[in-house]
Amino acid sequence: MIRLEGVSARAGGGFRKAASVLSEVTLAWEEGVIAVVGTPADGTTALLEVLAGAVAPKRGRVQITGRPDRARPRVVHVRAAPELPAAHRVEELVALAAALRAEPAPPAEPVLARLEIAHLAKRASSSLTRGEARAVQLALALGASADVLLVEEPLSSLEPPAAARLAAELRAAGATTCVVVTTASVREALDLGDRVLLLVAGRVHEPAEALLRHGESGATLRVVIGEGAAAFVAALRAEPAIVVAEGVPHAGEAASVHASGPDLVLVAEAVMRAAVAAGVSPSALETDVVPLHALRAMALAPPAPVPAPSQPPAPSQPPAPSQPPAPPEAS
Amino acid sequence: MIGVLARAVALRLVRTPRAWLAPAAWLALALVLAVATRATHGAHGASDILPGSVGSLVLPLLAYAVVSAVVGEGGMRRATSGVVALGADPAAAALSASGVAIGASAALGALAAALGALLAHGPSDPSLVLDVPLSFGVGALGGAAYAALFCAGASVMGGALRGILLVADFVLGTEAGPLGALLPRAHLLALLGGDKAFDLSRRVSSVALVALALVYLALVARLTRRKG
Repeated sequence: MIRLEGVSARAGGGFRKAASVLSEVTLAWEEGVIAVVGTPADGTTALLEVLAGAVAPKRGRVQITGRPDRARPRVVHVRAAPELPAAHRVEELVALAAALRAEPAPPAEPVLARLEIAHLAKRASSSLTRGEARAVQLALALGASADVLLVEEPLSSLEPPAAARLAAELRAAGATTCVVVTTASVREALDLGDRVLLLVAGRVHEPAEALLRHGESGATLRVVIGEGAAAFVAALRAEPAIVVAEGVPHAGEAASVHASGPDLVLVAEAVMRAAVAAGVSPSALETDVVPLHALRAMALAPPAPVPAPSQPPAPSQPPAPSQPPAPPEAS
Repeated sequence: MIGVLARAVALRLVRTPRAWLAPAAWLALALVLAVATRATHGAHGASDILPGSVGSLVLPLLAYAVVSAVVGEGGMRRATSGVVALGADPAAAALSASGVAIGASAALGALAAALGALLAHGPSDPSLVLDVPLSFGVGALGGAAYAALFCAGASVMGGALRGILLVADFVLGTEAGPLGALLPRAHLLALLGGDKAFDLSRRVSSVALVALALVYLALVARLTRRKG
């Protein structure tokens, strides 16, 4: 179980790198998957670092409760960039992770098979691709019997089979574990989360699911690219079918680019043309969700004015419903 | 947990022989210099080379190379991020890496000093029976103190401070004052036969090297601890 009360914190930041900032976040969650939509600049990194205990909150209180038989709650944090010890074979990493938990080493194959990567067992960690390394790290995290599992951008970089298995494994883990995932993809959050939150400018919002799924009218594509976001957005803005094109930076050079327009087919064609023109290759493409920038704008918009309570009802309003008749008294 | 972590660091070092090229090169330089000194300063070669090129040049660079082999280019945090991601405590991981670096640096430092004393030995030098074991011990102490210093430097500024500390040791290490006293150079050179450090006895200098190593290790733990 996690409980944050009025937590403000700051993580990262430095030369040409924006800090991830949380501002008076209050949040409680027990079991299941809570999906937080946002970018590191909105505070997703700070949220996970605070929950993992890597960053101390400047204000507020963080409480994490684990299983009663454990002296301390076991919190496992999987960052977006894969981090594996060098010069170890993957099967040795399974044993090392168990040794660090003071547990006997399990056989590597079942641990890795959870994400269909048992074939990587004999490989050296330094020989893995980014996606393979991330899959290994996620498999080790799933095998850690965590009380709280924190996963940043869970499906990024994964091959489709591993991504599908991970989604199922995270939902299964949520039956007994508090799982917190952060993602810039509204679709991913809706697919994974039992509860979806929006983290904008360090503050948590809880939008209605219907708003997340449909939002404003029109069609939007979210395109994830490794680099060249500025050129891609410029090319999109030159397309007549595109009304809005905006880029949201991720870690490193990667970015999500949202392209909106009145017609999905025309938007898709425009995205492909712009990708060719800008010389970028999309690594992910998704549609039919509200783009993050639109949700962010809605969350940051000032609240609509509330009419004064003394104001009489407008004449066009229907009369107040009459009280239902009282039930007959029993004789 | 420290043992498991230290074994992981040692395994990585054993499996990446390329990381040992620089330390091996500095060790080889010490041996070449010892032979050359024997040829040119025949009578008291060991007394010249130990506080000279071995103590003032080879031992600091050897320790720096060993620490670089252990922590890599990105500093202590990046070097330990893999095991921390698997659940290790960051300070324990950093102390384990530092322990391996200190052990390896002490072993190589002892070897460099002892072989230097042996190969450069001249008729005016102290007896080999005394000089070689003493040089071995002092080399180990110096290598350990320097490695601890550079591990502390590798724990901040993305590891960049260890380079600054190397330069500071060369420039200010024998200067009188608090900064000089906090660096290993003056104490190590005094133990290898050079001038006394800050008018302290050699026994105090040897205790100072041990104390400095412990202070640097405490700094590593402090700088890398979990903040939450």
